[in-house]
Amino acid sequence: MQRTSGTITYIHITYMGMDNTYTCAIFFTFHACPPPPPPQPESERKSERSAAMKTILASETMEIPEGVTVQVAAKVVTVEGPRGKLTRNFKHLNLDFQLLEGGRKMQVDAWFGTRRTMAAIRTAISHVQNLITGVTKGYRYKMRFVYAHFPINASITNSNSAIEIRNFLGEKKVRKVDMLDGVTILRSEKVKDELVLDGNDVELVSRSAALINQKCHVKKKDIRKFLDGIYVSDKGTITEDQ
Amino acid sequence: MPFKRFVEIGRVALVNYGKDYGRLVVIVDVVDQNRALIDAPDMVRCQINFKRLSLTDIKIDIKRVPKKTTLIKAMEDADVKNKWENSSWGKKLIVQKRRASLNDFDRFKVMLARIKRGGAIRQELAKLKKVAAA
Repeated sequence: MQRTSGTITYIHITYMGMDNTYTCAIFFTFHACPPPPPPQPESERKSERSAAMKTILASETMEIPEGVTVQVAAKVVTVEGPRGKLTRNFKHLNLDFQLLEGGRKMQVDAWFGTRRTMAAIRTAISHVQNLITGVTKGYRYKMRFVYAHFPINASITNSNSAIEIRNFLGEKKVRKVDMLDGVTILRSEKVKDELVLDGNDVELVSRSAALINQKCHVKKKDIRKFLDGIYVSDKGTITEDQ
Repeated sequence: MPFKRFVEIGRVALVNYGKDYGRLVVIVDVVDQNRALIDAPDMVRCQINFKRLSLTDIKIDIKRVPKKTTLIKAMEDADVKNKWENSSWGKKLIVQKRRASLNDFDRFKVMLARIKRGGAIRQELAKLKKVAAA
């Protein structure tokens, strides 16, 4: 209830002689109430926000399969397997990496972590799992040529590490794409208009596929109609067992 | 790489800031995320921020907030004093304290001792050099 403000202007007291009672009427005039305080602007409210909660310990463990050796020192993870060796640097994360059971398991801890650091635990584990499959099975990305009228002419050069693309949409421009480190490219024999990119590191293989795709973008046309390009059709592994 | 010294009931720590600087205390309870209840045989039990503590490798076996006599007995059983004084960290602190409490005559004696030691080392080195040259 808001406090009202006002002054007493007139007090009227009547004396009813007969039964000795007094009635009193007090006349009160109200002042105009001051306007309510304006709502606090956004900036002031932000400074009152409390610090986020920190969880004392959050950890996750992952299995390392047979045939793969993992070494971790100072947040640099090295994975070695039948197909080769891969390293990844996790120094930008605030996590603890340790090997348990003599290399059969890897545990990732986050001490006093905020929501962000705890989310990074599982992504770090996924990155290491990608390293492991890269080193055991390898990664194979398949891309298809899509064209309506002008056949895309691609030739692999440089001992399977670069591709030259001609006649994309009839253009005279020759597009050359160098594959990244450790990625090989070849034209599939049995399937028409297909490229196969092989490699151990999924980041490098997928980035090479993206570079090829981006070189063949259609400019200044309605892309819903001009659907030409080289598109990733399959993301899989080199050695298929399951 | 993983942590070995944990904040737990019974962990022995060194106070590194404040009124009780340099005192060895035992964590007897954890108040919240930032503070612990600490106790030592010669002080009143009090709360302290973790930032004022340096954890050691020594741990004693006590329950949560033990009585003073229980605490003292547990520290005797775990032999905290000897373990601390024989650890390299503890030895360093003793040496630092001794050096800080030297008077001028003591410092003079130390200087003479250092010169003598340096002379002995140089003599041995000369002997070894002569053998290597031959």
